[in-house]
Amino acid sequence: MIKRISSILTALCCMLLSAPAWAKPPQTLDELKAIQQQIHQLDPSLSAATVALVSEHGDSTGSGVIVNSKGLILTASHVVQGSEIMYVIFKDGKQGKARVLGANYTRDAAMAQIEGDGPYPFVKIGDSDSVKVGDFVLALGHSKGFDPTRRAPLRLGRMNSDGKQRFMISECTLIGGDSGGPLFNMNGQLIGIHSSIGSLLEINNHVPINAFKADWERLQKGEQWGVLGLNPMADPNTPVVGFSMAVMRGVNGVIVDDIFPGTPAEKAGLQIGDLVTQMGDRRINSPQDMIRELGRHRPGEKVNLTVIRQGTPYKAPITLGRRGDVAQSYNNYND
Amino acid sequence: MVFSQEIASILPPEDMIADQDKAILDQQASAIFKQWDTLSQPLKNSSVYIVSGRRCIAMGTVVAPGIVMSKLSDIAIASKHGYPAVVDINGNVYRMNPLIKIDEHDLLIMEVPGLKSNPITIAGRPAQLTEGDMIAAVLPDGKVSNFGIVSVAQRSLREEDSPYLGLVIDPEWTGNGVKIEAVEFGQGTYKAGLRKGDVITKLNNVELSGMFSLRTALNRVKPGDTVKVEYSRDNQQHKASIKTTARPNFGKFPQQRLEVMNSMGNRMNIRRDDFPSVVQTDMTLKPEYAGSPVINLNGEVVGIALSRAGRTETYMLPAWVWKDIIDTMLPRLKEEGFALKDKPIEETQKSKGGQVLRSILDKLRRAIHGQGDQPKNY
Repeated sequence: MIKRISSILTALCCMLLSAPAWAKPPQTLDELKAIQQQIHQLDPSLSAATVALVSEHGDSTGSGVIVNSKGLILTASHVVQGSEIMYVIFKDGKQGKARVLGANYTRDAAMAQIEGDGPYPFVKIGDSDSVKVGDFVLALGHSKGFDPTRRAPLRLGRMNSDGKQRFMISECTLIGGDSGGPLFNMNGQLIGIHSSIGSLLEINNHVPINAFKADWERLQKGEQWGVLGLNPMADPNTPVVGFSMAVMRGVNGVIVDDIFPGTPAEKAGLQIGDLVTQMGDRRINSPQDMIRELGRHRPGEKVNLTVIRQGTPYKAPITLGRRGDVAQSYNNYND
Repeated sequence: MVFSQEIASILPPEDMIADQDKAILDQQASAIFKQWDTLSQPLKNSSVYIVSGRRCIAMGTVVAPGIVMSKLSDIAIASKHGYPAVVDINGNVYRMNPLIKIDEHDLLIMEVPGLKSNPITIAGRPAQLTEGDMIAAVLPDGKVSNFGIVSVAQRSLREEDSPYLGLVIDPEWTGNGVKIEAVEFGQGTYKAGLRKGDVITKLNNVELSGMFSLRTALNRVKPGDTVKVEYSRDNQQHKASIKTTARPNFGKFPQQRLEVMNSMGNRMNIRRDDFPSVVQTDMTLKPEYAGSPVINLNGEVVGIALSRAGRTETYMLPAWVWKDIIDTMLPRLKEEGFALKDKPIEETQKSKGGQVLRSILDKLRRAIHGQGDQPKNY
């Protein structure tokens, strides 16, 4: 009796612990085939919920994704900016209208509501915080604008950043028209919305879905705020530590050049001359690394900085401040 | 506003991915490519470099002993200074003689006397490609250059230039002719008086047997031409003239901005997107790798890479399109010794070779129309 139960338990544990073949980086051909199989499985439902969005005057064309059966659409704010109504074009070519709701321009997130009874095909929302570097993801979107002769092209890629970045970066190449379109994990859950591209093929930026979740009600109610393309250094809602950085040739890390009063850096006891080499478990070799890594955190979060002072390493716990709350003089100086 | 957001960067692109993440990504990529290479190994020496002026301008797939197939336009451009040379994986240089030229699909089939190689073999019917299939382009050394998935199943990229009638057809209609599901207000069909439910039986005196025949009938029609139709409504036959237009541009992304984005960190082929039968993939491709064989996850050759057309698109020609050409033309070239003179066989020629090629291409066009997801918007 005991043996049988324990073997059932063991079997259950094995089932729970072993992730499906498509959920981890593929090491074998069979695992690649499992990912291919999963893509075939997911495609119909993912593409049914992907729509093209075109402004009434036709001057803005992008994509969106339906997230509930009543027809709530998530998209990029720059696609709907300046519009109250957008044309929605569904996978089967049918056309409808959607009313623009809220928009967070700083995060390039927006919502729209299809005008109609539904029910509409929709996708489930995932968790962008748990997205890791190297995860395989799927992108859909109406590249180059709506084209009646072809579906929204399907693309596969890996995450080049994790899901905590202000804008997540993936290998799924995007182009004009894809903005507002969906990024999915290999379970078919929505984890991002396409936003912009960089001048290398591997830089394709997506709004993490958690940015929508954080302001869901405001967006649904139709509130609009923020500024498009805002430099994080000018965004009051970005995290700040409170010291200016210096570099020394041949030295990996950033040197504390000056500390600003009333900031988390001062509170944590950082001193001028300290060498910051890590934020959490992330290596900081340069000011660029520092800027990038800060982007993965929010004001109020606690991080451990690894600091070397006169040859001795120590951990400085920091509670990140909010740029907008920090003294004006700091902001002026740090430009 | 849309402009500044489409292309955004807090840091220069080289700094946007952390070094420690690059290390993870590279390691992962290495493991994945190792797997792909086990599939592509059998294709070592199944392709060659096409070289002009010491620069590799394309790849050629060895489709039969001594016979190489490659991308016509890139070779034609380089050929202004004499035919390019063929170089194999061991660095041996060969001359080539163009045998067959197919403009439509941008293919050049050439004879390479003395070529020591490992021709690809496709047993039976080439594997069909569906959206989501993983594919990879293979280089002469038997390694894959890159891999991706099928983004859009086989279609014609020339739809955009086809004349627009302004009607949606009923795909369920099984009777003769083409049944109208919807008529677009203000467009040619509407203006000619046709309405939902009408069945078009003839277009320009060609009997329409169904959806595909409509597309074929529109083949020689240019946007702006007027077509004569016969249609039936309530068991009565009617005639009308429909003035076609160009496909409406509504919802298209501005061309100039697309060009900027397409060039960001991306080089493209010159002739890249006016093909009648291609499969679209997100696989990246250097333009000089056009002509490479492409395999699937079973190691089967499924096509030939045709072009890098944009930031998000690479096009490949599915194997079934050229397999028939190779299987039919080559033996006949040998047996019947079509007089080649110095020019390759082309469809337009009056020669025996031209006739045979023409009939194969006609058969292919009919088959192409019968494939893929047919648009219902005309």
